[in-house]
Amino acid sequence: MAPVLLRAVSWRALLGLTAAGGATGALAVLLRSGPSLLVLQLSMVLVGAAAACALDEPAAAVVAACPVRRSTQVLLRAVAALVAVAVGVADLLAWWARSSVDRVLLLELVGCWVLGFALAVLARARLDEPAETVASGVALALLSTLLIAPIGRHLVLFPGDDQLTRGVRTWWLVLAGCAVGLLIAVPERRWARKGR
Amino acid sequence: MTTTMAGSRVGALAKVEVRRYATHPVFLVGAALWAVTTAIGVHNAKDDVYAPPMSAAVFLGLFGVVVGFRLTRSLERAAEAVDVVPASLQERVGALLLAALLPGALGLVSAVVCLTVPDAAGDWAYGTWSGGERAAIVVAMAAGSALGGPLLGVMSARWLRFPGAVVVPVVAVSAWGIVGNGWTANNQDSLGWLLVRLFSPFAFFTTLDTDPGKPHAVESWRGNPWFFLLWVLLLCAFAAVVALLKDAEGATAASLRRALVVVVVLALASFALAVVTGPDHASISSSTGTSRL
Repeated sequence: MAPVLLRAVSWRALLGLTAAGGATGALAVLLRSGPSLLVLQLSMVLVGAAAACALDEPAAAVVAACPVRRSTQVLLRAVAALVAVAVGVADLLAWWARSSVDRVLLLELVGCWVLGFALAVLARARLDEPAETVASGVALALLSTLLIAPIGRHLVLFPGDDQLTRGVRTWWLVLAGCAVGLLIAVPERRWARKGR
Repeated sequence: MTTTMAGSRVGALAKVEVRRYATHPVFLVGAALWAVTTAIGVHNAKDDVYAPPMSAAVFLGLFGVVVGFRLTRSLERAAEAVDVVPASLQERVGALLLAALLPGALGLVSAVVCLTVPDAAGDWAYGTWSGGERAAIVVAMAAGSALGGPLLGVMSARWLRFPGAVVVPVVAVSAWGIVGNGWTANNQDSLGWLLVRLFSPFAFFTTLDTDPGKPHAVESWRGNPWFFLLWVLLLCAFAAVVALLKDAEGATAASLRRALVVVVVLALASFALAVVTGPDHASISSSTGTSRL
């Protein structure tokens, strides 16, 4: 059953955004000067957006009739979304190979991925294809904290050296919130199929 | 007579589209964040007087990409229902493009506020730019981006057909701006980075140096702000014409193609002039004076 369910994933969107994230991260690694850290973080935003695409279900009516538990479906979608984080980790390893190992960057990458995936799972309760809404929302929210100083100072998701502790604390809060959201969103009932 | 009727139809549809734009949740969130961050930015400007327009670029421009994209898609999804309206698809898209004037107007408000309110630390905080050039820089950053974002969103929605496409223009424009402006900070006099920076739809002409142990200083970069403003406005026109070209037929398509050629030629000319005119080297200004970098 797992291969069949994985075949239903919207791979074009997931792989397309993952490739864009991978290319952006590679650009940051290659240039290694100026705002390359900002470009690396931009690739993490794309990883988050790609993870949000894993829950899209163009054939929702068919899949809803499958005798598969919802938690299994979410788990399989999480496996599919791992492609995005794997590419992000590859970029990060290349980054670390050329500079010092900074574990906060790993937390940022995983945080972006979990945020995109968890919000998509929550949105999937109402939308068959939540990617367009969630991916754009995640991208705009993360870009706002990245590009606008007054926002980034208050919601520290991509911290500079002077705000590392706050950044780590914020990400752990985000991860905890996502975990709660997933626990709420994956009870054993069928996904509602409402109008798009 | 026919042109007048088409014009009045587009006018009537534009009112509807402006209302749809104004009530879109992404626009409302963006506008609220724009208002708050612009107020904070202007209040704290002092020596970073070119930072506040960035709020309009992100919250009206980048958010506008998503609003434009989603409104276009909803227009297409509702095509069957809307087909009862005696208006062609081009007219409906044209009306949607006109709705971009709403964020554009807010961007202009942002530019006026950023130009008039900041309590600058001194004349040096403006860099080497004259009053007119400062206006061109801020209008391009705030109003140009606020107008161009939604137009880019409409254009992308008309032409990009793959799932997740809405994220692509948002991140592409961000990456382009970050790379062009970020690397110029380390290569101020480089012609290559000047080309990359000004080819972007959003460009800084200054940066604030905040090196520890030194007084703050403002770097003024190469390029002509007036021709850059013209380039940005022509990019907006390019996006609008390309959006209208999709599914255009007959005489309309021919006219749009001719308009596209004119816009591209003018845009490339203004880009070239933005690069070759203006200061031929970067300068640095602080409270102690201005010197060549």
